[in-house]
Amino acid sequence: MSLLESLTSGQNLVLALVYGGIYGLLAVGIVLVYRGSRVLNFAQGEVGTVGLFVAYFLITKQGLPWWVGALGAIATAVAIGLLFERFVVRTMVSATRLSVAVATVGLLLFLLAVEFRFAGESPRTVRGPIDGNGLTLGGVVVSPTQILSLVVTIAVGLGLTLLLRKTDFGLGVLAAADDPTAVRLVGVRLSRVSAFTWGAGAAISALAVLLIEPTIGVFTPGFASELFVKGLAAALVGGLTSLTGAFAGGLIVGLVEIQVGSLTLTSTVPGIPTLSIFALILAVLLIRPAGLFGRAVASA
Amino acid sequence: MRRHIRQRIGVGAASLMLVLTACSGAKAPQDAASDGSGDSELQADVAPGVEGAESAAPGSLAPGATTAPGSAAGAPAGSTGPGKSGGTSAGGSNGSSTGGTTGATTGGSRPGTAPGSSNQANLFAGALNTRGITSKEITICGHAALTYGPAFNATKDDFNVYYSAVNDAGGIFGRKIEATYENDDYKPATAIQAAEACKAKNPFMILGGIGFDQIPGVRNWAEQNKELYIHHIATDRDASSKQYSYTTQPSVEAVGRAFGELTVSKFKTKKVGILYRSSEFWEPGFDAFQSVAKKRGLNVVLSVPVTQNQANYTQALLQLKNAGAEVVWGWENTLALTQMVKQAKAQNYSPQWVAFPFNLTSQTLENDALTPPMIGLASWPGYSKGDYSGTFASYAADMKEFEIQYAKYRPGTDIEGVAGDLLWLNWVEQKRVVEMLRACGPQCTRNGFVGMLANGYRKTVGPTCALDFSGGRNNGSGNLVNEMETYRSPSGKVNWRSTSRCRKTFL
Repeated sequence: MSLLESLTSGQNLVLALVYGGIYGLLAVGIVLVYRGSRVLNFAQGEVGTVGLFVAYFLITKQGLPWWVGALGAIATAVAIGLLFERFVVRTMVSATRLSVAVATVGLLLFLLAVEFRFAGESPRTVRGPIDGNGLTLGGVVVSPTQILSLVVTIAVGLGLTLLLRKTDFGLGVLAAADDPTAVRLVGVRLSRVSAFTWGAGAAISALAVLLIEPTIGVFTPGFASELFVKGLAAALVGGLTSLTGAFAGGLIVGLVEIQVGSLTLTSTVPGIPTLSIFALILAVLLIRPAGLFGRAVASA
Repeated sequence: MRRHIRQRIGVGAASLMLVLTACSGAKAPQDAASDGSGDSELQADVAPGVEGAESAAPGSLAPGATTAPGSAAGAPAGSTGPGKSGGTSAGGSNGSSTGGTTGATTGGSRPGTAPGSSNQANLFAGALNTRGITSKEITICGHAALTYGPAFNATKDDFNVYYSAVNDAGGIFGRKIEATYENDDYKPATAIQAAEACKAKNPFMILGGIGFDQIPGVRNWAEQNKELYIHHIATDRDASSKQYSYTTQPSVEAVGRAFGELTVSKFKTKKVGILYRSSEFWEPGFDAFQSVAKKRGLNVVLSVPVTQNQANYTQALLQLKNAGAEVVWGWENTLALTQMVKQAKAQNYSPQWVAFPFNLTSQTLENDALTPPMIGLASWPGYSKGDYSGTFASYAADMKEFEIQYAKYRPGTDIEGVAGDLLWLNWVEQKRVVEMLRACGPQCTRNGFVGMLANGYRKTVGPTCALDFSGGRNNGSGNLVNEMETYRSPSGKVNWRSTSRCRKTFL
């Protein structure tokens, strides 16, 4: 396929939109935690995967409605987020943000170990929230769940943006990350802000993974870890401080991946689409370190 | 099968460095047919005078038999085998029986020649010749992707049921098999660490479980460390020079060629697409398939390489669909294959899938694995708990024995579920290994064992296909494979069943 054919292919554009939406949804959670704590949460995807196992148990094994499973998944993820915040993040309040980020790697490894121990590698499936054949656009069947995930991504991004910009609590969340001392002095409870950030981030992770799983089809432990890398790429490209940028970054990453994948589909050199994403990150960071929609922040 | 998590973490770790940096500034031979005579593999052999350090006895676990979801492929060779143990096995097996079908030792060249004869190899000097074998015990260690054991609700102990039964029946010439396992995590580097850990146990031999990617590295390691290594499916590349490694399995190349022949035989007039793992240890199989396809005029419309743990195959599948591929050969591990089929269905694309047959895939996919039924091939015979009809009938006695022994030793193991066929292939391969050890004789040593194989050990131990090392260390299977298809079993599970057994060619 030539470059022009690839760029104008309706199939590629639809795929880019579908996968971009997935990456964007993951990126929103990453950005939320980053904005609230200045920490990159490397366990962001895996927190959701643990929730997905709960959803599997409730929906697939117990035959309960999807929304019940989703609530169970989100509740589990939130619990993990809050526990991590309470017993790790809060105790590292004076540590560098880099140290806290490394602690999230520990959480990631711990969650993987738990998944392997209690669930194993066997592939599992969880049905999507909406049944049906979906729409065929550009030769691509877009499932109702994929459409829903795009809507949810936009809704969550907008909702959080409004919350953070238009409410006192939201402003407190943003301010807490920039200047926690000042926030404390004006009477905002930093513990509540921190708990919100990590709990909400975990909830978004669970929601994202629940909406992504039907697209991939089956999941195993570590399901979201690889997707997380692309979500992180989206967050970096869009700007770690911008929820709007997270969505836009997701679309850009999806577009690059699909276009490069199309052009190199039969190449015997493996992983070119993934390499192209890393190249994109490097390029953005070199040209605009804060990301396309982000703003520079002082490092901790 | 995938390889999964750890590599995912690896990817994550790589990106971690990148991101942290960024952030700090502001990521068959037809010879067989079990006779069901009931020769038993479980009966004790009488160990004539095996005492002390001279005795030796190999032991072991089925190569390939271990865990491995997401893993790829292959496993024990299977086939039926008429007969009784044949004549030349020194000390041979025979046995009582518990329903199994032990095949005949067909003479080969001096199978089972006892140590001390001219057939001994000269690989192990001094005490190393009798390492891992005493008058009471044979020590075996296997590396396998134990990480994935829980996937099948199976533990290490679940893989030792056959040995437990043999041991309780008196062992091999009075020697009990002591088999342990080290986790290779389905990763090449970890596999070498696992082999090192095995070596520390001073085993008679080291066994290599399923995994195209781990075995070549361990094979090199075994050569350097002078360790006897019996392994599962691996590429032929660089194998011919290895003196310490043997396999009872067809090579990656042989399996790829067999898939090519199977596809030609069934879908010569169809448009064929391929999704294959882009990896040095998988591509030889793809190349072999392509070679057959080209020679036989198969219409391969598109071949798309995929990476390990790619997860998202929709773009590749849509291209195959656009190219009109009616048949798709999925040269990937179980997890990837399952994702491929699921994602193809999501795109209303239902080609004829040709792939490795694991119940893990078919039970996960359920109806999606039946529309249309998938076909595949493997060196082990299919297993579907409680179904003794059709091609299962030829080895129903073995299946029943398997079920009886699991009920006895590991009653909690779910052999009806995704673990069933893996434990089965482990079981049938262990039968074969036990027969090899018996054939080695009561005075077996490591040199004696290797000498026996090197001199063309041949035997059919049902229900696996004939084992014949006359073709060389890396061709014990004789490239015999079983053709399979998915079907809904009487239990309601979607499983694989054999449709033809122990085929050397499909053309």
